[in-house]
Amino acid sequence: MNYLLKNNRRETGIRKPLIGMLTILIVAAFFYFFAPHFVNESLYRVAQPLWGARDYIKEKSASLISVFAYKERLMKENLSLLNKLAEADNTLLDLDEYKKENIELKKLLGRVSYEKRILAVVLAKPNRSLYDSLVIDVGEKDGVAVGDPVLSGGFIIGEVREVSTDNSKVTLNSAPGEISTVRVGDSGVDTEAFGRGGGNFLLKLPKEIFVQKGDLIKFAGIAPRFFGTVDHIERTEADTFQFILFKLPVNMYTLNWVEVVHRE
Amino acid sequence: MNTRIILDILLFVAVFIVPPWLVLLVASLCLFLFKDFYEIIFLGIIMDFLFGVPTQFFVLPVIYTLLASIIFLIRISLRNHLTF
Repeated sequence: MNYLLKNNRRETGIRKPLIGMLTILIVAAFFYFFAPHFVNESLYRVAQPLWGARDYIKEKSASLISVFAYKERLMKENLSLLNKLAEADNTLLDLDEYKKENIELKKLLGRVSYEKRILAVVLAKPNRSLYDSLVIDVGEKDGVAVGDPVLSGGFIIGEVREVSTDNSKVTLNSAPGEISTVRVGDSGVDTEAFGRGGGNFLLKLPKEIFVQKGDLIKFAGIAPRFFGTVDHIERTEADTFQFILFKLPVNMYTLNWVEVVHRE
Repeated sequence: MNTRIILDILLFVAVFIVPPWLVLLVASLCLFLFKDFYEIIFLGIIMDFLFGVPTQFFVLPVIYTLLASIIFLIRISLRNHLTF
């Protein structure tokens, strides 16, 4: 019997790419399970000059735009920013004094925390990935370890999950499915905050607990670590719980620096 | 052939500086321009190695590899029904 040539071609046409795809996936799985650091480090070696060039171009284009921007508007903006900076400086002076006092008191009471803070540059941000992760420029060489918390200002934003020699990957607390135990305001009630991606969180509390917009959400512990502020509260008559929506006060998409806290 | 190599290089560089969804979109278009564009799977793997971190939601961070493989599978299964 004679078969049409077209039909024969169809069968082989699918099998070949399918085998090719499976071969690639098996090789990738081998590297993923047995040599992940080798691949990560090789990729970061290629990525770093590219990320550097990207940041340089971004910076240069921003300054070029500012040359053409309206001068008067820039002057007004400059003045208002200077005023804000002066106010912030005054507040910070107070804050520094309180911080010193807090540390002194803890020392007197025998509660000293030995931790090292490592400044890191953010190389890749959430808008570049689906994972709500950051890639930072410090790694094993700088003393970073898996599980180290990552801060931006006084706010804890994530945790180091993977470390290579010169780089680390940080999972943001707001990554979908991430669960963190937090304390809401002055209530003293610990509850679980669920990450919803893009710096957003959701938590559930009994309706009887009084919470208002702007309340601080923090981690329980001797060191004051903040998580966010209450943004929106949803209460219904029928429900026994209230749902609190909050977000990190830090804009993840413009984040340039973070601090990694390493316990010694 | 030369066009394919140039596009491969451009896509590889784009992985580092362009949002992943855009890279996958362009690579998906390439699937229709070139025969067996395996590069899309490589790009997915690179993106997972670069940005993927295990979370409580994605235990194995292979989301881009999975997406690229699905797109590749759809393309090869459609091959016989589409003519270009």
